[in-house]
Amino acid sequence: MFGSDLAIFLFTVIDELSEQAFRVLAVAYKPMNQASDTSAETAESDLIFAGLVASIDPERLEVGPSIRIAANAGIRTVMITGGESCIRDTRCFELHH
Amino acid sequence: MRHLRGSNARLQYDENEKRWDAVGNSSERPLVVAAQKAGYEVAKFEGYMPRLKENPFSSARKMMSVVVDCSRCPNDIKSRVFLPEHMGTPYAAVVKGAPTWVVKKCTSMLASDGRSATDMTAAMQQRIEQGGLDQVSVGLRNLWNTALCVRI
Repeated sequence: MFGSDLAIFLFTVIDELSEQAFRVLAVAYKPMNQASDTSAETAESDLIFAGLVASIDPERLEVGPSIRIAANAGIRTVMITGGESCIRDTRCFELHH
Repeated sequence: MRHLRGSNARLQYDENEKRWDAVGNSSERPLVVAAQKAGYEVAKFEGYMPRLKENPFSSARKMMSVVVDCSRCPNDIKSRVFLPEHMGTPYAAVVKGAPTWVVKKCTSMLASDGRSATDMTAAMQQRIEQGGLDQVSVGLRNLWNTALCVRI
């Protein structure tokens, strides 16, 4: 339905927010005249885009010393995240400093 | 705010800390707290717009949705949530999720004052035509501000 222009447009803002370690959600809605079909397929179509909501999920600063102690003990730390890679990089940078 | 009815997190005021907090998952808690701070009485929305159905988040859809009954919602509240032309509509679907996935399901977009909606492609086109990527970035920042300020 939308061209690559829209993708660039959205990815730019999402990246911009994600780089600052914001968690970004989109909110959309639509009025419905009847509620006989409330399936995801019906409810999640033909929507009005309301906007983006960005929130902060602060890093746990106590993780830094813990990782250091683990590293000194010869334990390798692995980071697993469902977030964007730039969130991960920002987090690591903030914890490192 | 519209997302209020799409959030499962519950609000509580911490008397000791003198601040709002919420119980629920970490993505939804800030949403209900922000709505309360923006002047919406979160606790009352359950009664204004009871939920008829929740379609829970799934990793295949990257979004969740609820269908709510707004037929008994007081008009002064409804007018803050609905566009004028939708005031008589009894139900609504509210969706939140991963931005790129949600946008693909949208056909129109709220104006920055939240009082009208325009065709999605045209609204995007207009912003994009304002300039190159730098301009787009500024537009996006405005869009984001809109999202936080718009009367949802």
